[in-house]
Amino acid sequence: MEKIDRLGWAAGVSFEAFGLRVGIRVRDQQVLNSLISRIPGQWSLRNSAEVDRLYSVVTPAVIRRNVRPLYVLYGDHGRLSRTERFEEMLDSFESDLDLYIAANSPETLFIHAGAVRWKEHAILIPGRSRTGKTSLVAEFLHAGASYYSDDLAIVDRSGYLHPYPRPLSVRIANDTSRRVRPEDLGAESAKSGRISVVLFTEYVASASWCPSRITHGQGILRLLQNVPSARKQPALVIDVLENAIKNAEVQASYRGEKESTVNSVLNYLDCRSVA
Amino acid sequence: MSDSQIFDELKRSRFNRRPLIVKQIGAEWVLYDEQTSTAHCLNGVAAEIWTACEEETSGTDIKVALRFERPDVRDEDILASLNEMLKLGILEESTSSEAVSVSRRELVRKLGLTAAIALPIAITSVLVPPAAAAASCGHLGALCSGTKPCCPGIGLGCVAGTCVGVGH
Repeated sequence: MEKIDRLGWAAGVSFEAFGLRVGIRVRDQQVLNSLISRIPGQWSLRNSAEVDRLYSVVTPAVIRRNVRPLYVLYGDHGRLSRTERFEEMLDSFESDLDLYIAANSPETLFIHAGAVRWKEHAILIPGRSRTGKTSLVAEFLHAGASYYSDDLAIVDRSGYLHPYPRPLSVRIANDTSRRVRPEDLGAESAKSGRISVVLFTEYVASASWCPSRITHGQGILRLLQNVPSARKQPALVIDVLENAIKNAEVQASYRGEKESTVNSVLNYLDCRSVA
Repeated sequence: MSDSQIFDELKRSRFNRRPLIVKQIGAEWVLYDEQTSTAHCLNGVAAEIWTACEEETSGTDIKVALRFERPDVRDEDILASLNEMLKLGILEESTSSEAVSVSRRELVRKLGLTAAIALPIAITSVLVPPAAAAASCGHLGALCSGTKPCCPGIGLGCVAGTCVGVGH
């Protein structure tokens, strides 16, 4: 850390987000502005330099012709990325900050899940990477749902789901991904509310959506596997999860194509509303 | 195996609940073990057996505790469940070593095979992953680090901070 401290810093900021104190220091004010644009949710500036996590970004002092610039991002004393692409460094910052907050926030529960709202129903889709969460979220948005989140859903201590408006990370050719803003899919930000239905699902080419209801206890067990802070504060996490799904139906099924799955879910919710 | 063998085993054995985080969710109980980062969901009968194991509780004490509410639960169900709970680490056995019968393991093994079909007791367990594993992983070409690993199972490795194909 001392070596990094000696590098000489031109600008910095200290802020609080989701109950955590975070600092950023840079050698270039422009870089700081770009990093600030990636801070999630509601955050506030702080005057104190005392922070829980400190990000340091080293950029070239002078851009020379024929020499590629190198951007190095540190999280506390560990190097997080070293890249020639500025956007990549920003993505790395955003990803690490998200995980740091998700794993440590004392006031908000983060669930690795997509979440959308259809009429009065908040739909939570927890799941590991590569289970098809994002494609399902995008399809719900195409169908007219509003948007909470693509990757990290946030729930307050009373169990209310809130938007965590990050762009969707849509997978494209060669297994790489690109960021798509929900507005580009015609979606609005969803209003906070109670979860109506939790869908544990995974794409399997030959499958079709045929859900079975699972108990809340089993649902909590599965959700625990998708909560980054579960090991750190298990008692609190279990309490919040119980609150969050107490009025929700928990369903599990493999699924086939996203269009038919979304149609089935929306039809079901519409019928439930009428009943 | 005879009923008397099972009864003797219940009478001899002593159990204690391990200190876990406990939450009742409707008729089920969710337990969390901070030492092993494992969560368990017990159905009503399993929870009653587990909660009955307060301090050096014998198998027969448990049988008595369940007598009125769960008259259908058989001795072999109780013994098999206690054994399952010991294996999962949510109970500790405090039976003195002299009291443990030589044939105990064999008895429980046989019970496990026969009781598994009809057992009214259900326990589900999951390992809760560390923070990084409970969040998104890096795809091909994505940046990776100690806090953001590459997605497992698709032949990716973190090389010089980037997820690249490492083949199988």
